[in-house]
Amino acid sequence: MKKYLTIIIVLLLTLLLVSGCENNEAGPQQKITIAEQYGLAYAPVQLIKELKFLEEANPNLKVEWKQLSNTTSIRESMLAGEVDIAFMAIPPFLIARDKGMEWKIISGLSESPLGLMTNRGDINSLADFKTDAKIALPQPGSIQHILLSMAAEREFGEVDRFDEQLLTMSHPDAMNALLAGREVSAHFASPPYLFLESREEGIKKILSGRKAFGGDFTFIIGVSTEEFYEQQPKNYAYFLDALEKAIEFIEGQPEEAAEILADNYSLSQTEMLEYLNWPGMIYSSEVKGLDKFIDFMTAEAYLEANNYQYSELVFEKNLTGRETASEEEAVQNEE
Amino acid sequence: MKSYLELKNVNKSFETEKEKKIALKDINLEIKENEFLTILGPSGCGKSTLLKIIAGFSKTDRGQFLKEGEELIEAGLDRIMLFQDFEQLFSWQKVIDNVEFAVKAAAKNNKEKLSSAEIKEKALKYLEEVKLLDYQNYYPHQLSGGMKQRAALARTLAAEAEIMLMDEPFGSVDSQTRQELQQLLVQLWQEEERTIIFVTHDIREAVFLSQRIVLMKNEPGEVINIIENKLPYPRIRSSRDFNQLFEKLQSQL
Amino acid sequence: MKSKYKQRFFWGMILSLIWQLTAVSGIFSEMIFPGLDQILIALFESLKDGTLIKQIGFSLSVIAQGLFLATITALILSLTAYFSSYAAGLIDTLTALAHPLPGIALMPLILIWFGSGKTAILIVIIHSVLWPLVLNLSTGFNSIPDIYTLIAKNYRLNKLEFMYKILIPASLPYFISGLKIAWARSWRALISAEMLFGAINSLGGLGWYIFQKRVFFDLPGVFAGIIVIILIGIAVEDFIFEKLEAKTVKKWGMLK
Repeated sequence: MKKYLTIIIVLLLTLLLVSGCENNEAGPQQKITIAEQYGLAYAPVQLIKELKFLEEANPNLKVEWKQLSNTTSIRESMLAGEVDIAFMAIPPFLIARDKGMEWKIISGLSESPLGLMTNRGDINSLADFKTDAKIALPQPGSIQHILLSMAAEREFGEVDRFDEQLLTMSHPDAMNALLAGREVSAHFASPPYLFLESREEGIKKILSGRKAFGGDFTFIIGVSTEEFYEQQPKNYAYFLDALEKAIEFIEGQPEEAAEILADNYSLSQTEMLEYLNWPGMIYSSEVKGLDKFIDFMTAEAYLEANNYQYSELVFEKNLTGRETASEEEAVQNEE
Repeated sequence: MKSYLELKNVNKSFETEKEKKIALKDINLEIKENEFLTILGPSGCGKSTLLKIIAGFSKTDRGQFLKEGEELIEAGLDRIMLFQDFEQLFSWQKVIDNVEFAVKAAAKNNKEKLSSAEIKEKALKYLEEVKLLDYQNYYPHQLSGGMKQRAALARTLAAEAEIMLMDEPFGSVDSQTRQELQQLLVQLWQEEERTIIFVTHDIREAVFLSQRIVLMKNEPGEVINIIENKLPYPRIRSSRDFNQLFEKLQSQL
Repeated sequence: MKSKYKQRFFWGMILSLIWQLTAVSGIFSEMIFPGLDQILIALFESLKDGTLIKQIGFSLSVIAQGLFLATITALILSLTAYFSSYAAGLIDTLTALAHPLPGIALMPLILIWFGSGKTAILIVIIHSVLWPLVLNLSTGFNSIPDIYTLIAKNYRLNKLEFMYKILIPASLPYFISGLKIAWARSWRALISAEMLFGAINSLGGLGWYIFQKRVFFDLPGVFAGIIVIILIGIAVEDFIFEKLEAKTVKKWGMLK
């Protein structure tokens, strides 16, 4: 028994040591880590990277770009403290916020055309989907999943009407499957996949994101952790400026932006420009549709609470153009 | 008159990397029906190779093995081999099932249909003959070396072959057990009519068991003498005649 | 034997205690390090509403099918290789090519050729299991004592009889150890494949259960899934394989 006790003590001490180390690491740092994802909706972020807006603003700042393939892993990296700023759709942000993750919105990034594309001639509307027709989308709880549920709710009064026939696939895999005409009958696509698919013969759009949502909404938002916001306010501010500049650049000088970004997306400059100017492809820091997402997701039990204050979801310093209540005011309000 | 079994001018050599080794050179031998014959010689004299040729496991380079005048090349259930190796028993089968294996194989070969009761009855009969009835439900690994060889002997008997080929079957058991097994074998041979060709390097074993002893030498493997052993059964190891024959053989090897 | 379980129980309790103390201490956020109480509640709730049981049932049935198909195929391949040296060359080449390839690396191809869903998962399992089984079976067949082939000749067994009366039982220790490797590999492959090939709100197995908990940010749920995976792993290794060995190769003295 004595032997076991010794082992336990050693284990506990090791544990303490390890946790001690963790705490020591959080000193002042001059580094910002940004998660990037592939997709036209993220174009301003690519511009920040290409034009080195951040390095320009603060030469001492070490900027690290992390390539992550999906929203879930971005979220987990942020939780692990490896990523400070990331971009994603509103629903995955809300799901984690609802579970207690300490992060908030810093800005809108883009609105974008989204579309449910099908390769089947006999399907012309949602009502034509039989249970054997599989629909590919990124993952449960993704914006595509929520939009499809919204449409199903509006048209048939059944939120989960299509849930049994949804397949989780990354956009490139889903596009391949759609074009191959096997296994998958439809794909809820975003650009550039949406544009590529709409060029193909025999593939048509039967539902747009806007129609599913019932209005305009922001596709991609920028988010950051509260830890980063509080511990590195200056770098946070630099990033905000850089983002603003990038969005203005894309909207104001699309030709130049297309020239800079074409290589990044492996597209020709003309194609790049065509995509940036595609109707419905809007880069803006405004956040649209947040309340409607919250209401729907709460009603369908994706979220537990729906009485979020705006200040609980969006940082006080933000680009959305709306004022959030200052800290003191928020406290006063609660009292 | 044709002899029962005949080896005619049998030659066999093996090629190793360095040299060609002549295992058997011009072997000529006749064996009578129901004879108990031992082939005696030092290791490497080709006696096991000779047995393998008789069994049909191995082919001659030149020469023939004939049974009643007809050449035999393939192995068959008329010549069943008992090996020295304990592994010859199937470790995944109980003793009784090991013996039944031979009963079934023989029945199939003779195109006989036996019921499972008949198969079992036969197997039990041979187990009784080797005095292993009490161990029928044991697995081979639970038996001593001597008992394993008894079980293997029972299986060999159960094939009911006219000819039994024995390749130093008692070489790996202790001398006490070996003598018991030798006695048992002689007794069984006297009770049932079979031809036994028994390979050994143990002179006393040869003297105790057989009616005729074929003496072989090595490099090249050749027959040097064939000696009749007329000592009456049951043979007594301590008798004067026994020891005289022993000495005679020893001097020739 | 008993002491093994005692030890495991003892250390299991110690590790749980350390886990719980760490969770309670607040060194890590609850978001990344949930307490055992939360994990057990999540486990209990998933068990109660039946979702977890269904997912477990799905996973086990898929793995059973995969293992069955792979075992049959492996037996056919290794027997063919044993009896024909031409086939042996081909099968050896195939094994050398395919064995080092992780099933996950084939995912994109599998998606295009077989689509996603159960077929894809089965293919991944069969791939991950077939080659080690073929290797083990072939080694087993080739290492049976020569004496058995002589006996088969002597008693005039045909190929089929030789196969089921001698070859397969004699190489059973290799077969079982191959099955053990197969099980371990297929269980891993299954969970990772399920994470990739599931369908929302439908049966996708334990891997899919964990993936869903992950995307909905339910960490205690993720841990509940992991606990089930561990328990099933232990149960199969300790009960099924130990029983199988006790009833065969250990009883026959082929395994010390």
